[in-house]
Amino acid sequence: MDPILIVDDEVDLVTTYERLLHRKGYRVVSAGSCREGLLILEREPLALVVTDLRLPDGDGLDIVRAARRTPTPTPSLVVTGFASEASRAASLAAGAAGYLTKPFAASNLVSLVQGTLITRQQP
Amino acid sequence: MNVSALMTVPPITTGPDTLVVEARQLMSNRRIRHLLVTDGPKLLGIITDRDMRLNLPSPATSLSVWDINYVLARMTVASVMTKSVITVESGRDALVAAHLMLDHKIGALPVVEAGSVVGIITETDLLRAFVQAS
Repeated sequence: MDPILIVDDEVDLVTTYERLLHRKGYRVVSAGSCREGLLILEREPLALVVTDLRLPDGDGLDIVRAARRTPTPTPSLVVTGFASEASRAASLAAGAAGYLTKPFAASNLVSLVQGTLITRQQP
Repeated sequence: MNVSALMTVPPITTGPDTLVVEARQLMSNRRIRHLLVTDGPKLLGIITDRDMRLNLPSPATSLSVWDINYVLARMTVASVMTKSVITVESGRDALVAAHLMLDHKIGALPVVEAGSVVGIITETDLLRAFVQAS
């Protein structure tokens, strides 16, 4: 399976994402900025993108939109520490498959990742 | 099941010099009941919404509104936090976390890995696991 891209500028949280997803057998690549995330999206096929909404150099929704424009549209999940109905609606409107609020239960993240990947595999 | 599979991440933290009123706002905004107090990677304490309530002046206080506001405006989390924090390693069985919470009558444990705080496990996380498993 292609790797999962994590886009978040919180280094410790990226490490936590990696540990949680590695334990479930997923490969992970990470980016600490919007620009870096967009470059990885252009460069390699991905199974899923998990992005923070507020990035130091831009908007996580740009990542979500770019993921939809890849040759094989890549599903994405938005994770934010600044939850609001408006940001949830904007995320889903931009094409995100799911929305999670920080702090989140590790089990909820894993369930959401697994659910999104299963949905993608179904014809 | 390991603690790491059930914990809540990322840990929401604040510094010891944060004012209690600011910490309350942070906890309200993030919808959390436990806030970890850290100095860089070092865990200094934990503060709960209960700690906040218990440290507010009693309604029967003889202090004037002005005095209450004066006290509240200067109270820092370091003055109300619990300093002896019980933690649990991320690789431990969740049952160990549950026993620690029961034995010490606490609602949350900071989760540590290689000396760093990586998350927090709460009663809610354990209840969620119980519900999901049933």
